[in-house]
Amino acid sequence: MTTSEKSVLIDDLHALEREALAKLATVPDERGLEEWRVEVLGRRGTLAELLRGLATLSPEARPAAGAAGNRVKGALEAAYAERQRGLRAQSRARELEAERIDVTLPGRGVHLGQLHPITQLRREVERVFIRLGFSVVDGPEVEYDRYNFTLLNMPPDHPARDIQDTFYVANVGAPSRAPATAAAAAAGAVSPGDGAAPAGTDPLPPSERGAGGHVPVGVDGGKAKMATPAGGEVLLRTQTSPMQIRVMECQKPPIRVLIPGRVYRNEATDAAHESQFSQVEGLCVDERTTMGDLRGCLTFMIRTLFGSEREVRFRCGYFPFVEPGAEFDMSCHVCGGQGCRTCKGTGWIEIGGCGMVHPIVLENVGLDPSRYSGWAFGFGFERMALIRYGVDDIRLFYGNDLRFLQQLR
Amino acid sequence: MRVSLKWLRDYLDVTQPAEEIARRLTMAGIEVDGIHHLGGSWDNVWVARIQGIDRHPNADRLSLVTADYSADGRERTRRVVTGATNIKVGDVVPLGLVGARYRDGHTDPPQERVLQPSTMRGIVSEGMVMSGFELGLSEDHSGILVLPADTPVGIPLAEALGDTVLELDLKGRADCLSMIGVAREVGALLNQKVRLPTVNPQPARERCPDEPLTIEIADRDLCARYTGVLVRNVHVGPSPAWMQERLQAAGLRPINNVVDVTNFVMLEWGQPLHAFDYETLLGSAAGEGQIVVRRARPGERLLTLASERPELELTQEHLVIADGERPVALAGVIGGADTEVRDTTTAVLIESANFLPVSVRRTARAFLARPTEASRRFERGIPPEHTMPAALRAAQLMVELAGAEMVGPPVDAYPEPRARPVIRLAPRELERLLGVSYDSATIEGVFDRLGFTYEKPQGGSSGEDYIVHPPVWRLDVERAADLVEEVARIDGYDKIPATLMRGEPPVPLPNGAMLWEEAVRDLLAANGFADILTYTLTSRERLARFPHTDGRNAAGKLAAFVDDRVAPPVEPVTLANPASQDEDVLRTSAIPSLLECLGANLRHADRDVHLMELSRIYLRRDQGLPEERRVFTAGTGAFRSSGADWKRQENDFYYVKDVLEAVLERLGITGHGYVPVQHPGFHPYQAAAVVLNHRPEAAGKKPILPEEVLGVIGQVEEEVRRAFGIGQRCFLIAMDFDRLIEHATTRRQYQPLPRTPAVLEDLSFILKEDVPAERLDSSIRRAGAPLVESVALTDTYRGDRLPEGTRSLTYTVVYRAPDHTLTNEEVTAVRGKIVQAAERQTGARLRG
Repeated sequence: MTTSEKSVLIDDLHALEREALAKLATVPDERGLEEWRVEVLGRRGTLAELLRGLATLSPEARPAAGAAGNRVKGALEAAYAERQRGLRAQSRARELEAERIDVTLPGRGVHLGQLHPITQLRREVERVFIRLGFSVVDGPEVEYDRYNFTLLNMPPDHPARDIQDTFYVANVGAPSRAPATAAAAAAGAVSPGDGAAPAGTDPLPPSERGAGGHVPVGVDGGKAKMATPAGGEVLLRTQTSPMQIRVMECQKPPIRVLIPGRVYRNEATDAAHESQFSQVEGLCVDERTTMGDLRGCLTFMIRTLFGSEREVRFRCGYFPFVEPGAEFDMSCHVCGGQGCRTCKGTGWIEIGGCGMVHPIVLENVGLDPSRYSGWAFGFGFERMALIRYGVDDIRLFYGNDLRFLQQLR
Repeated sequence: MRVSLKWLRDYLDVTQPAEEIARRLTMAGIEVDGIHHLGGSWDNVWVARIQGIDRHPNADRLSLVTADYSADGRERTRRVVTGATNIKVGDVVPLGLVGARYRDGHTDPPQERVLQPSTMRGIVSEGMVMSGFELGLSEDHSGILVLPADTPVGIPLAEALGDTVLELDLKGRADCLSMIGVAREVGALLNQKVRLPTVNPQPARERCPDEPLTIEIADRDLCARYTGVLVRNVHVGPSPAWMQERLQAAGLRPINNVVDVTNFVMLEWGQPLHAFDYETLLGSAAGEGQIVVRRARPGERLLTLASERPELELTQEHLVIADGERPVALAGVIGGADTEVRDTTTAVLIESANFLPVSVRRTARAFLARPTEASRRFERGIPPEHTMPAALRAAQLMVELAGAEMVGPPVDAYPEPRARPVIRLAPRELERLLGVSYDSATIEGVFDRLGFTYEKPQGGSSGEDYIVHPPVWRLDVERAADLVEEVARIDGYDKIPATLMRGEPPVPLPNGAMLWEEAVRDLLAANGFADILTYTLTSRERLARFPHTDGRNAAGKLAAFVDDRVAPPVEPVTLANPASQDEDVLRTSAIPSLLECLGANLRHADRDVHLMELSRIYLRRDQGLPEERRVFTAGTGAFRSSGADWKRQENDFYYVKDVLEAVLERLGITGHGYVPVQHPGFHPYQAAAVVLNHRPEAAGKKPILPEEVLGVIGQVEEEVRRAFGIGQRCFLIAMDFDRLIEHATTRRQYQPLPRTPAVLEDLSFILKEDVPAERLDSSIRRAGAPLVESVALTDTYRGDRLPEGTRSLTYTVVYRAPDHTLTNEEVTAVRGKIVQAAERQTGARLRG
């Protein structure tokens, strides 16, 4: 083999490289690529064919030609891999494009539910007072006159009864024989129905519970001292305050309870009045609690619900079951107290009533007013919801129109 | 109570603007509901004196009035034409100039007009002398309003007559149902002394023997005091303008000087008075002038001044004022017609008495739709000490205004003078109740301003307490707590700090129900349901729209158990005084209101109407108060969103069943099942009672006990839903929530996570349509125990490739042994047992 033989082979390799690369550039797809690979790089491919010629070269010519062969092989393989990546990327891009969607179409519509605005507000208020160490309890909506009025320092014929037009029940059951639980309750020996509560802490004796066991509703007279007739006429409670009495009859101070619930007034309904609405009552009784504590708790509540800049104002107010009594207002959350339409220019919005539990009420439940003091407050959730959401008609809350409810999610 | 500020200034030098007074009163517990400015529309109306009256040259009925309204040394006169005849030279009258607004009574209804320049019968009228009607002060347009002669001339009428009236909303403070009471309150707030009118009329002469006056209180429990004064030579006529003005400002209609005086004194002192025509009172033997305060006798009648119900039939319930023979007034409520003061009356007996509030209240309620001014005051309580000054004040005014003479001293029956309360107040009591202490100067300052007399604490053995004597008019102040309020409110509630409780924490009370309700509401809200609140009050008719089962036979028994849970067929709690017939009972079921709500919302939505309510139903009991049972009610329309291709998808029984299952899982309730039930409210084949202690293998054999029933779920029957205006299929869940709570638990048991691999296998069975799937499910589980860990339905198929009346059910069965990897042989053996048991127990065959 001569030097010329060697250079011919090298030239052939270079020619092959040029042609193969040119052809590779025109390969349209992965199939074409595979054909190219077999044709050029395959075991019987053109490159292998040429390289077989190495064996015929003289030993001194072989290294140079072998090196050229290796270089050409490496270059072609690299070009192949590069081309393969390129073609794969192209085909993947086509696949992805086939999955193109219109991202501006809406979702298919997950229908969210919602809590009623009154439920939301009730929970918020409950949470505030739970943070302050209050327990939330509830009680019967159909109630004895005695609890709704008499024991709250509104004896029969008290003029303040006029303020709350009352629905009376025509067909109440016979007066109940009061079980002798009063003494037991006072002694803290009440066994709670659900077995989960510590003894003596349930606001109502077992005889006064509903079938559910947990539920202090559907209540009988309960106290031996109010045997027959159990509690006078039966009515729909006009306020949540009767639960003040029921709680104090069964629990010893310290007492901190919050009582949300439905109440009823026999009033004509309009945008501002409903015959059924919901109220919340708070009661705190202890050996040393003051009207300052009342103001503190209400301020904490108002600031939690309406913002930390809100102030609470007490105005002297009359409710037969508190003394001193007050109405409480908050500084207007719309204008910050400057005066606007919401607060009728006064800078203040009336929220509810409150005061120190009247000594007669404490005496009525057997607590010594010179030893214990207590305070109570009450306000309506619907009214607060009107203020909060700027709703102009209270009847919307019981209309349950989803178009309304969904606005207040 | 309407309080004229002008009248208030009779007792007090109030210079503050009305708004400030209103604010102070409101803060102190006398709520001012409104402020009315009278005279706001009197621009261009002046006080003028009539200088001359001449005849109109061209009209007999008109005259030319020269009115002088000069002021500040500037001479101003106007000549106006008028048809009025009640004026004379020297009278002080309102003079309206061009631009003045007035009420024109020649149209019906009267119209507001603006005075224009005019010429009447050839003479230019430079203004108008005005009537009370034209000024909007009264309904009197018979003549020009003649002002008191001492009214300053030349000032705007608004300055002379304008007034501001505060409308008080009095809940507690009965003493403020009087001008003097309000003046005292304002005086205390502004720290000003109150000027009381001087009351010391002297009798013109003693009573003669032929003019007797005896007063006997027969029923002392109902009447504490009765003071009578006789005045004679009364000339009944109109009362003077100043008095009329005050009565009108207070909202009362002037009648005549005698009646007006009694009303005026009532408004001034808060003590209602009554004026009898003395001559009409009949005596028993001694002639006229006998007054007996007694309960009415059965059958007695009284013709009263109230036109609404002339002749009252009285009973012993009612306290009356009687003369020697008959009732002449309903005590504290209203006078009798026979003895009323007429134009011809010349002798008047003024009654100033104190009646028991409860008695007056009951009597007024028995006979009148609304309380009278008198009964309103009596029923809130009036101090008996006021009868005397009020009686004397009235006598004095009748002397002054009706030319009367007072005859003899008042006759006063006051058998048992009231014991006035004496209150001990320890200064530390203020701090104990209010959380802030007050120094003695503040405390005593408040007492002084309110007219409370007191003995200061002596210290040492004689005590640390104030001994306080409330003034007679403060019947509402009875104990230390009342004094605490007085100090706090006069000093200002602003002083009360905002603090938090310091004592030992209370024992927390359980309220599981609340927590469960919260959990269920949250769960449902997160799953597309809207929490609703519906009314408790409803009617029997509305309740009946959702039917009860009538079958109490074996087939209907389960339906009856369901009714007993969520819609018991009992007589509802009924109101004695419903507001309307549509709301006269308390609901015994929450289903109708939910369906009403569903119907209403489906009128404007075609999908996603998913509602839930946690509420109460009210069930009468033989004894005591009704049961107030918690119920959970939820319902959906036929469609919801999220279907394929953006279409809505159909709701069905299984959709709401999933919802209920989620609720029960959240409550930790297990072991329950669904038993087909035929209830008239539901589709006969798409409803189930939800029952506890359910064992599919025993279904149909073990009787269901009423106490095991929790509620019902199903598609609402078509006619029933149509009755609620629902035009599409709808689904309902109704559960006794109290019973759910009874079985609810937060207890959950930890199981170690498996360490060995599971084998999963799908088994397809062909099962006859009339065999409940739960039996196959149960069969697989029991036969596969203990290696079968779970069984879940993962496919169902119905179609031509199956024998008629059958379906294919595919279950994914998970096998696992806790301690080793299962071998093929083990799985095969268990599968064999499962297939055998399924076929034997349910007739199911493994599908090819």
